[in-house]
Parts: sequence; structure tokens; C-alpha cells
Amino acid sequence: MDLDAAQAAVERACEEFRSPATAAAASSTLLAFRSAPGVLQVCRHILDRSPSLDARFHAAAALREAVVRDWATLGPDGRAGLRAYLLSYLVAHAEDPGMAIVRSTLVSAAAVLAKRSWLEAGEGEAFFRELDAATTSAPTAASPAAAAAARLVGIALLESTVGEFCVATASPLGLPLEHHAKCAADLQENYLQGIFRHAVGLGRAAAASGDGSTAAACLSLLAAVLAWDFRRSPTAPHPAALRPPAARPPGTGSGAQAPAPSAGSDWASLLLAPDTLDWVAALLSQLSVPGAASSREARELVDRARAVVVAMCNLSPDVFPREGADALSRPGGGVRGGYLRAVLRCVVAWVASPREVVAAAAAGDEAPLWEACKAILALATAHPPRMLEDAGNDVLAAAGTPAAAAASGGGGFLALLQALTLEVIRASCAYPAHSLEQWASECRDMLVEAWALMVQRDSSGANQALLPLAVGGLGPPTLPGLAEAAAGVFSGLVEAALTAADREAAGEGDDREEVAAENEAAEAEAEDARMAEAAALARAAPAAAFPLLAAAMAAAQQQLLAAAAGGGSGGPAWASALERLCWLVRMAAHALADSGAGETPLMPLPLSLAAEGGGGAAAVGAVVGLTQALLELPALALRDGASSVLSPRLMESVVWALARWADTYLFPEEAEAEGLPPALVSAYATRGPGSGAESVADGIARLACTCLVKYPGEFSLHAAVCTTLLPVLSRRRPLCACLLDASPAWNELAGAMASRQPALTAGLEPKLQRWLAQCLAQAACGFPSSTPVESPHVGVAAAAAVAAAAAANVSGYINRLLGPTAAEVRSLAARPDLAALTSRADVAAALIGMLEVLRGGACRGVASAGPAARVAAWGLLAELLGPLLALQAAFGEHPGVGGRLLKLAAAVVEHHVGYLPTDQAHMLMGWVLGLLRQYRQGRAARVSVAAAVAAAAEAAAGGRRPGGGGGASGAAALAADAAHDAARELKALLELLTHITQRDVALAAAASEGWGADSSAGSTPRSVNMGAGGGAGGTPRAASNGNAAAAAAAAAEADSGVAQVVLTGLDVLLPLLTPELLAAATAAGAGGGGGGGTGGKLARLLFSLLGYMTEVHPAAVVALPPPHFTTLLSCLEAGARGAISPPAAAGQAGGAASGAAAGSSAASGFDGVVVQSALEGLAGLAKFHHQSLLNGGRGFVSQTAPASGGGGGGGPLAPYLVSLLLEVALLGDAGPEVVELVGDGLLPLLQAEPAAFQGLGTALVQNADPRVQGQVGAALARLVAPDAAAAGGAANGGGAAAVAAAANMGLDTSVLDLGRLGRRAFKERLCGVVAELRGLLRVR
Amino acid sequence: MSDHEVETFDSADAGASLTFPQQAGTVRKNGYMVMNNRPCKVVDVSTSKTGKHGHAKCNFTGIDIFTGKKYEEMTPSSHNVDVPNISRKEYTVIDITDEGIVSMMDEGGNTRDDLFLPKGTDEADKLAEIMQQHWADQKEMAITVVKAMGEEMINSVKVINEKS
Repeated sequence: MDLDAAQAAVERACEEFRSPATAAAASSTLLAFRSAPGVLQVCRHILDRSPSLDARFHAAAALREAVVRDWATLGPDGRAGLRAYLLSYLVAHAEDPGMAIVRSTLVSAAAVLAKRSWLEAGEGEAFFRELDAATTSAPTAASPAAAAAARLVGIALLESTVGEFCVATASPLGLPLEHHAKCAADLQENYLQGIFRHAVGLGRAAAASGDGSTAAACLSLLAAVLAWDFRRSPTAPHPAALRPPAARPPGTGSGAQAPAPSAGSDWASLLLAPDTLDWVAALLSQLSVPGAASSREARELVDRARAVVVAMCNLSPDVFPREGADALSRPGGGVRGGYLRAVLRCVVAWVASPREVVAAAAAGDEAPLWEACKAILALATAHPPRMLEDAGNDVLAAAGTPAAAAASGGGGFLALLQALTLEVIRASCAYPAHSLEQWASECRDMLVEAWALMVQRDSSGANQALLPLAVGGLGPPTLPGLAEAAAGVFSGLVEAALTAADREAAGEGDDREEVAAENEAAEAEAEDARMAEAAALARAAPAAAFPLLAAAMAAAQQQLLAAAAGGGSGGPAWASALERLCWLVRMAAHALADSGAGETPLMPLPLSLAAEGGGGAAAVGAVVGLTQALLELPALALRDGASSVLSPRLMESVVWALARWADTYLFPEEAEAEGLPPALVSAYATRGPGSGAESVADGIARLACTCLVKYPGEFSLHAAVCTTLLPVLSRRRPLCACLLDASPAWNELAGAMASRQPALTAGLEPKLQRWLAQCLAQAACGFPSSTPVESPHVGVAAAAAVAAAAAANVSGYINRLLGPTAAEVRSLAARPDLAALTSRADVAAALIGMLEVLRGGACRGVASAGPAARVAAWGLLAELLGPLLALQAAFGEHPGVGGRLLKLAAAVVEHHVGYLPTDQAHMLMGWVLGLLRQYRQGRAARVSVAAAVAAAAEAAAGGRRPGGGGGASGAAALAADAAHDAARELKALLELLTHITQRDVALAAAASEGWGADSSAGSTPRSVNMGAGGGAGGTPRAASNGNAAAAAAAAAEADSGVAQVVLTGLDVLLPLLTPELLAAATAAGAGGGGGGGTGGKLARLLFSLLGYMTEVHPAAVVALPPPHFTTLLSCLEAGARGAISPPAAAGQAGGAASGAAAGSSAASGFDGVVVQSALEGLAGLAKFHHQSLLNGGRGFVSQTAPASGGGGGGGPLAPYLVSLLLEVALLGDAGPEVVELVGDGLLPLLQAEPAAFQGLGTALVQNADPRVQGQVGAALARLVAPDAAAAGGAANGGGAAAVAAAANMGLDTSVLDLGRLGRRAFKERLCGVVAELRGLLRVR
Repeated sequence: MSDHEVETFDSADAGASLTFPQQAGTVRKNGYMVMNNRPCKVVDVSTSKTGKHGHAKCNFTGIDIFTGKKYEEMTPSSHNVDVPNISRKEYTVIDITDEGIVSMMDEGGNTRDDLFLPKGTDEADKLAEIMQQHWADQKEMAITVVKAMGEEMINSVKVINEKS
């Protein structure tokens, strides 16, 4: 018989599978069996008859797959029959221990079957009814053991069902997500509570009767239900969903994962009923008697019970009914109190004696500790600490065990928690950070996080209902004992950190250093998060914790001095003192100040509230004390010879810590200073003889100097000073004023930079020189009244005089700061032997530094220092324009200098072009033009050859080692490097051009009427002249003529300057964009890789610039000389097709392979930004044409489309554009947003050039499949004339005629107009037509 | 203007010295540096510390600009390293002999014929091939000769007059 044969085959395969020789063949047989059609019958046959367990298992697995696959062919009766069969089979074989795996497979098959047909009416009911009948009712006739086994099967099936229905753990059914969601919602709505109740009932009974296995099964079912991903049904939003969820403070995301949405208040009666948990607690206490849980089953039972308790602890606050404050503060604590007591009774029991628990964990049994920590963290997240403590105290009192009492010292719950935390901290100290014993550090992190949450949540006893967002620290803890306990924990943390520091200092090996280097950043971040939590503890009790920290710092400092005095620099004592100080200064900064990232730094809220509160003086004193301790270290560093004692790493920490502190406390802006307590204001924000603030600021500035000068070659320290500390010092006006006025160190630093001291030039990386110059220049904002003072008491003239004096001050400062550098650049450029100097490494290095200083100081720095500084800097730069051109001519080929020169030019344009008067702007534009031309002369031909060589070298390397990207040969690496350099320069160039367009914005603001007239004026003779001048190399001035009114002329002239410069730049740029560069660009854009980041940006910059130019300056673009215009257009075309290819190649690809290019768009890194910009550019061109024709101009008739062989002469432009746009829309699968962009360009073209559309439409119709020609014609006709659609459609077979007729009607401006409504209607029509045409054109 | 700068710019005139000392910490990727007595382009720099509280060290990886060989070197970042003076000079090609000797002329009309076609690396061979091709096609070429530490090599070529 067939079934028997199949059974035999499967059994044989199972046999053969055991032998390695035949395993492969056997596994393929089994796989084929699984996917064979109509396998269900065979499966049942095997399950019923086969003696082989293996065969049965494979049959079960095949059945599970077949249920999904063949479900549709089964029919309702077949499904019901299969379900009944499965249930009866499971029950019948429930007792056989060898069948466990077969059973579990079948259980999941049954769950899948149930879910697959769940949404049919009555299925759910039927499933549970049959399940109940099969597992509880029927087997009562048989032996009690059989009944128990059947019950177990039922529970397992329920658990599997819950898992299957939960969206996160569902198996794929080949059905949309919606089906899963509906099933989940239905189960949650109608059955889940029943399942829970059922499990509780069964479990309670089993626990009472000592049936361990049933109890364990019930517990895991409970855990599965509690882990359910609760979602509110969209129809009936739960009231809790309207409230913002209880937010967790940012930065405390570590430790426990954020709990899934938990059950809502409709579950309250079920979850919070006392008898839900009491049997679990009883079970646990019964099993926690020493010796009770010796067997494996018992241990498993305990584990599951713990898991259920932890899951219960994770309930969100939404579950709990709203209770008044009085109910919560009653003895017993209302419903929530009752719940807390119930769970805490279990949890506290696990950790009743902290020392023993931790010792047990160390001995290998860490589960109780781990689970308890999870539970405590979850409870601390969701519940106010006051309630927790009340409940905990009650539980402890009730337990009354001597051990607990002894451990907690009679201090109640908080004391117990503190003791536990301290024990865990101690234990985590005993294990190094990277050891395999993860539990210690993880438990420590969880407990500390719980403490941090508790001190931050304990907000003056506020009612949760009143303050749903009460997390986040509203003041000092009000719960008696909490602050003290937190301080105790904090001191434990400090102690542990100091011990860890000693160990770090002593045991440093090279191998560990390597490991650490790999994930250094991640570790530093985690350490920062830990410190932030510890800081929360310290801030809760500043009066206790801060002096502790200060004392520890003083002690470590003494230790350091002693070690240094004993000549022990380099010894273990020295190293451990340094390591301790590193940790302590960072901790102190964390405790004193928030990071202030992205916002105005303020004094941390707990501290400022503590300072305002009753014990304010003590808190302020603590802050001052800790600050003084923190400031001790810089004082130490300023002594002679300190650099040999204080390591660079420590200085880095000190610099970081001081920057953080200074950002909050040192001379804040007035508005921020109001938040500071008066004592702190007078200490650190007031100038004058009585205050030490000036000397503090001076000291910090001197520290910056010292770090830069006394620690040569310490790159990361220099970077910390230049990019972290100095920006903080130069950000705020009052602080800058103080530094400029009263800090000799700051002025020394500025003087040293100005006079180009070796330590700040040759000894500092160019990038850092730029930062330094930027910060120093930025500080010019601190000059008094460098902003005009609006005072009623001062007359206008006096105010003007004051402002002038201030401006003189500022410009004096800027000139002193940057003048020498500028002079140096000038004198270098004027050297007669400049050509010979270009080979000198030192000259190039110095020049690079000077260019960076100018970029930082004269561009970025002054931009934030106000108008006076900007004017002064421009004065310097204006004299440098000529010399910089000379330097570019000489040094342009130097890889470092050339790129930086372009970057400097980009920065000059970015920060100055918007503010210059017209003549100056023209000077700048002319300079940029010169720069561009010179760059082209230097680069144009050569780069492409170099790139070809590079490509050849890469091809050769790739040929030798196919796929071997890792070890590129030296030459290839050099070539790749050269390509990188080129890409960087091109990016700078593009940025330069993009920034030039800012001038447009400035002009638009200045002379909006002239601007508006010009942009819509179409092809006037003036712009044609201008464009021709650009091609021939004329100056911007040559473009102007006297036709227009004076204001418009000025605007237009400058405007034309913009267009001319940018277009010349593009002319330079486009030939340089090699295929490799843009290919790398797209690849990098798609992959988001770090190395090619320049590339992705490059393409985007290029196309947005192109799009901008054709949109805003279409007249100038159209007036370009034809070859240039063609290049531009091919580039736009390449972008619009999404297939990024260089203009040269695009010229070839453009005409030849229209379909292929569009088809490849999806494959070759489709970049939305690029396509959008390119299409916008094309639309701009089309609109210009339309407008120009309306005004009687010629539009872009003078230009021709790119020919297929590259270059111009490819026929008239309009048909080309229409066909390009239609191709983009029709071929490929661009989304509606792209089609709408196409519509923007298509509409004006259709209106202006109906003939072009007609020709193309006719061609489209004729090329289409004969069967659909009529429909294609009708669709195209509908595009231009919706009303004519009926007529066109009726003319079946005459599609071409319909198009022609409709296209002629298209000229009717009442049908198509360019108003917003008309555009929108057209776009909608286009989307519909495109969808239809896509389908029609693909008919094969 | 500080005395320091004036002095260094003037002291060593062109050709007087092959290298110039620079602090190791300021040599970054893409810079040049002498490694193993060869002029190299730095392709990778990483920093490390001698122990937790020691001074910074720089680990350089460089590629010989003439031979393409790779070198590695480690230096305390406060020490000086030698940076090669590198000059680029442009010539017009006037002859390429069968032996691969290139005759060239600089802007001033001075000729020299002491350089061979580039060879030794894939890139150089390819460049030589291109030059020979151009020469066979009778195109006029400008070449750039790179000179560092007394060694010279033709480094790039461009066709300056496409029509001829």
C-alpha cells in the first residue's frame, strides 16, 4: 500500500540518518517528505502505526508544516477532523515519556492549526470547548495518572497557543501581519483572562496536592501570559493609554529591558487578587527550606515560580485602580499596597540575608540574587519609594526572621536593600570587570539603577495621579532615611571604584589593553551612564556625599604627592593615585553638573532645590567644597614640573571635568545665573576684588595653556583642550568678558597663537590649530557693548560713539590675533623663490596650519562673535585674496594644501558673502572665479589620467586576487588615497559653490522686487550676455548693462555674478567627476559606510546644487554655451534616472539605452535626494521655457539635447525632455512622490510644446502591444484632456488619433494651467495614468 | 611675525636638505614621512599609550611613494620624525627611446634625458604604457616628475595638445 511504502521510506531514512555515511541522502529524503504534497495522510499513518520514534517525530514536523501549506485544501470538515485527531492523539499518548518531543511538535501544530482558522466564526469557541473536553472531561474515566497527564497536555497546548498568538513569538503562516494582529487582539479580548484564571486554579490545586509537574506547567503558562504583548484595542482606548506612560529618566536604559506594554486595568481584579500569588509564595517558602529543593524537578519548579514573581513585579502602574492618597497611606496601603506586600514577601525572602545570598551566588547559585535584583528594579521603576518602603517594612516585620532582622540591623526595608547593594558592590569589586562572573556587575548595575530611580521618584510625597511624570527629580528625597541610605550606597560605590582603580593601575597587561581598545567607546559610554546614576545618588544627599568625594580627592592627591616626592613617579603607588584621581574628578563633575548637551546648562535640579530648601546652606557648602576640591588639581598642575607627575590621561579627565563644571557655574549668562544660589554667584560669577571668580577663570585658561605647551605630542589631551574646554570658555559673553579683561593667561594664549609659537603651530595638529583660533576669535564677543546698547539715558550720538569704540576694540583684538598670520601668508606668497619653497615639507606644514587658523579664526570664530569682528576679519581676508591665488598656483598640487585652500575659500564665502556690500561681494566673486579657473588649469586633464591609472591598477589587483579586498597592494592603496584626496577637494569645491548661492538669499532679502522680476523675466538679452561672458571669461561687471532700474540692476548684477560663478564652477567640476568617484559615492550612500562618507555627500551636494541652479537661474543656464549646457543636462538626466553616472558616460548612455538605464535605477543605489533634485531641476527648466514662450521669448530653443555619442546636437530639446520625463515615470517602479515631481516638469512642457507630446504619444502607441494600443492611446489622451477621455476611448484602435486630438486640445489653457489647482489636478491625473500605462506597457 | 618662522623659511634654501623634522604627533594620515629611510605617504596612524598613564605613541603605516612597499613604525608622539621634502616639476616630453629613456624639457627650455619610464609597480607600468601609447599616437605630453630624498620618478602625465 502507498501509505505503508511511505512509512517504510521514512523509517528507513530515519535509520540511515544515524550513520554519517548516509546521513546526507537521508536528510534530503526527509526534507522531500516534509514538502511533499498531500503528506497529511502519510503523517497520520506514521503517527498511528510506526514503531520508530524518529519517524513519528518527522511525521509530526511534516504535519506541522503541512497544516499551514495545505490548510486551504482541507475544507472545514478536514480541519475539524484534523484538530480532533490531534487532540485525541495527544491525550492518548500523554503518558508516554519517550514521546515528549513528538508531543511538543504536535502541540505546536495544533496551535498553528487553531490560529490559522481562528478568524472564522465560532472557531475559537470550538477550539477551547474541544480542548477542555479532551483534556479534562474525558480522561476522568481512566486512571488518575492518565487524567493528570491529559491535564498537562492541555496546559502545554494552552501555553503553546499563547506563544503562537503573541505577535512577537508567532511562527510565520504566510499571512499578512493583520491576521496575526487580529488573532492576538481576539485572544486577548476574549480568552486570555480565562486562560490565566484556569492556570491559577489548576496550579493552586496542584500545589495543594503536591503535584509538582502540573504546578510547574501552570507556572510556565502563567509566565507566558504575563509576557503577553498587551496592546490596547484601537476601538476602545484604555484610559491609561491617554496618559503619557510613566517615563523612565533618560540614561537609565541599562539593566532591565523596558517592559512590554503590560496588562491594563481590566486585569486588575485578576492580577491583584490576593489568591493569585499566595500559592506561589507558599510554594516558594515551602521549597526554600534547606534541603527541600534538592531534586532537579524541584529546582526547576522554584525557577519557574521565581520567574512568575518577577513577571508580576513588572506590572505597569496602569493595572492599578486609582486610589486616593489616604487609601495608599493607610496601613495595608490599599490595593497597590497589598500587591506590593504580596510580591515583596517572595522577593525579600530570597535576599533576606544579603551576605549569605551573595556568598551563594559566588559559589555558583546566583539565580535568587539575580531574580531579586530584576524584581527590585522593576518595582522601583513603577512604584513610589514610599509605598515600597511601607510594604517592605511590613513584610519584614511579618517575617520576623532573626536573620533578616540581624542583617537589616532592625532598620527595615531600606536598610536591607542598602545592605544587599553594599554586599553586591563588594562582590563586584572582587571580580575584575572582564571576568566571566557577569552576575556581580550586572546585579550591581540593576540595584544602583533602582536606587537612582527611587531617589529621583521620591518627589515630596506627590500623588502619582497628580504627577504622572514625577520621575526625573523634583527635589531632595523626602522619605526619611532614603537620602542617607543612598549616600551610604554612594560611599560604597566610591570605595569600590577606588579599589578597582588600584587594581587597574597594578594589573595592566598588553593583551587587556588590546581588548579594551576594541570597544573603548562603548565602555566609556557605559561608564558614563553608571557615573550618572551614582551622581543621582550623591545629589540626593549632597551634604553627606560631596564632602566624602572631596575628602577622597584630597587623600588621593596626598598619595600622589607622596609618591612623587619619594621619586616614585612611575611606581605602583603613583599609578594608583592617578587612576583614583581620574575616576574621582570625573565623578565630581558628574555630581556637580549635567552634561548640558544641546541645551543651556543649568545647575542640576536636585542640587538647586536642596540649596533653596531648609538645609540650603549645607547643600551650598557641599557644592562649594567639592568645587574647591576639583579646582585643587588644576592648581597642582600649574606648579613647576607638574607635567612629569601628572599623567596626560589624568589631565584629560581634569580638562573634561573642568569644562563640564565651568559650563554650569562659571560666569553664566545673566538669565541662567538667576538659577544659582547667591553664594555660588558671588563665588564663581561675580567680578571684583572680593571674588575669586576671576582667578578661577584665569587658572582654567592657564591650565589650557599648560596642557598645550607642557605636554608635547599628547594628541588626545590637546584635542580635549581645544574641542571641549576652550569652546566652553569662549561661548558665553560674561565669561569672555572676564577672560579678555582680567585673565593674563588668556591674553598670553592669544598672544602665543598670534605670534605663532612653535608649541601652538608645529606642535599642534592643523585641525586643532583651527579650533584654537576659532575659540580665541569667538571670545571677541566678550568686549563690552559690542552689541549696541539700547539705553534711554544715552543719546544717539553717545551710543554711536560707544559702539564705535567697541568696534575698534574688537577689530583691534581680531587684528592682533590673526594679523600676524595673515601677514605671514602674504609674505610667503610674495617670496620670489616661492616655486622652490613648494617642495619644502616645513613650509607646507606651516602653510597648512596658517590656512586652518584663518579658516577657524577669520571665518567660523568671527561668525559667532558679532558684526564688528566679522568686519575686522573681512578686512584681513580681503588683503589675502591675491596672495591666496598665488599660493594656490604654487602649492595647488600639494595634497594637503590644495584641499585646505578650497575649504578656506568655502568658509570665507559661507561666513562672509551674505554680509558684504555689493562691490566687496563682487571682489569675492571674482576671486572665487579666478580660483576656479586656476584649479581647472591645474587639475582638469591630469586627474582623469590619474583616475584611469588608479582604475587600471585596481583592476589588475582585483584580477590577481578576485574578491581579495583586504590586502590591497601599496600602489593600489596610493591610488585609492589619491582618489580620496580628489574627492575631498571636489567636495570642498561643491560646498564653495553651494555657499555662493547664499548670496541669492541675502539679495532676495535686500531687494525683493528686483529679485522677483529677474527670476521670472525669462530670457532677457541681459542674461544672455552674462552667460556668454561667463563662457568667455569676462568679469561679472561685464554682464551689467544700463537697461534696468538702478536697484534691480544692482541686484541682478550681483545675481548674475552668483549664476556665473556657480556655472563656471560646475563647468570645472563636472569633467572631474569620474565614474569611480560617483560610483563610490552611490555605494557609500547606500551602505552608509564611514570611509566613503564624502562620496554620498558629494552626489547629494552636486545634484541639489544642479537642481537649485536650473530652478533659480534657468535663464543663465539656458544661455550657456551648448557643450557646457549639454554636459549639465546629461548630468541631470543621469540623476533623474537614478542611475548615477558621470556626464561623459551619461552622454553615451542617455540616448542609447533609455530602458536599460531606467531599469538599472533600482539596482544601482537609488538615492531619493538625488532623484528629487534632478527632477526639480528639469522642472525648473520646463517652467522657464513655458514662461519665456508666454512672454514672447525663445525659451530653450537655442539648445539641443545631448546626442547619443556625447556632446550636443541631439535634436530639439522639448521632445527629449518629454520623453525623458515620461520614461522616468513609466519605466521602473518609482513611487508616487517621484511621479508627482515628474508632473511638475511635464505640465509646462505639455502646454508649451504639444507637438512634442503628440509625437511621443504616437510612438508609444505604435510600439505597444497591438491588443492594448487603444487603451494606451486613451490613457495618454486622458492625461492632457480629461474631458476628452470618453471620446478617445471610444475611438477604439485609433489610439494615435486620440492622442493627437487630445494633444491639440491641450493648448487650451482652460484645461491646463499652471496655477496650483491646475497643477494638483494634473498630478493626480498623471499618477492614475502612470499606474495604468505601466500595466499596459508591460503586456507581453 | 615671529623670528622662528622667518629663520626656518630662510635658513635652508631649496635643495639644501632632503628632509625636515616634524613632531610625530602632528603627522596625520595623508601626510608624508620618512620610514626605513624611504619617503612614504602615511596611510594610517593610530595612537596608543605606554601603560595607562604613560605618554602617547604613534603607530604609523606608510607606503613608499616610489616602490609602493609598505612600512610600519612606532614613535613617541613628542619626538620628531623626518618628513621628506617633495618637489613636483612639470616637463614636456620630447622623446621616448626604445630603451625607455625619456627626454624632457622644462619651462625654461632646459632639457634632460636621465629618467626612465616609470616601472616597478602596477601603477607605474600602466603609466609607462599610457605614455608609450601617447608617444606612438604623436600626442604632446606634459609629465610631472616627483623628487624626494634624491630620487626621482615620473608620476603623472597629461596630454596638453589633443589635436596634434
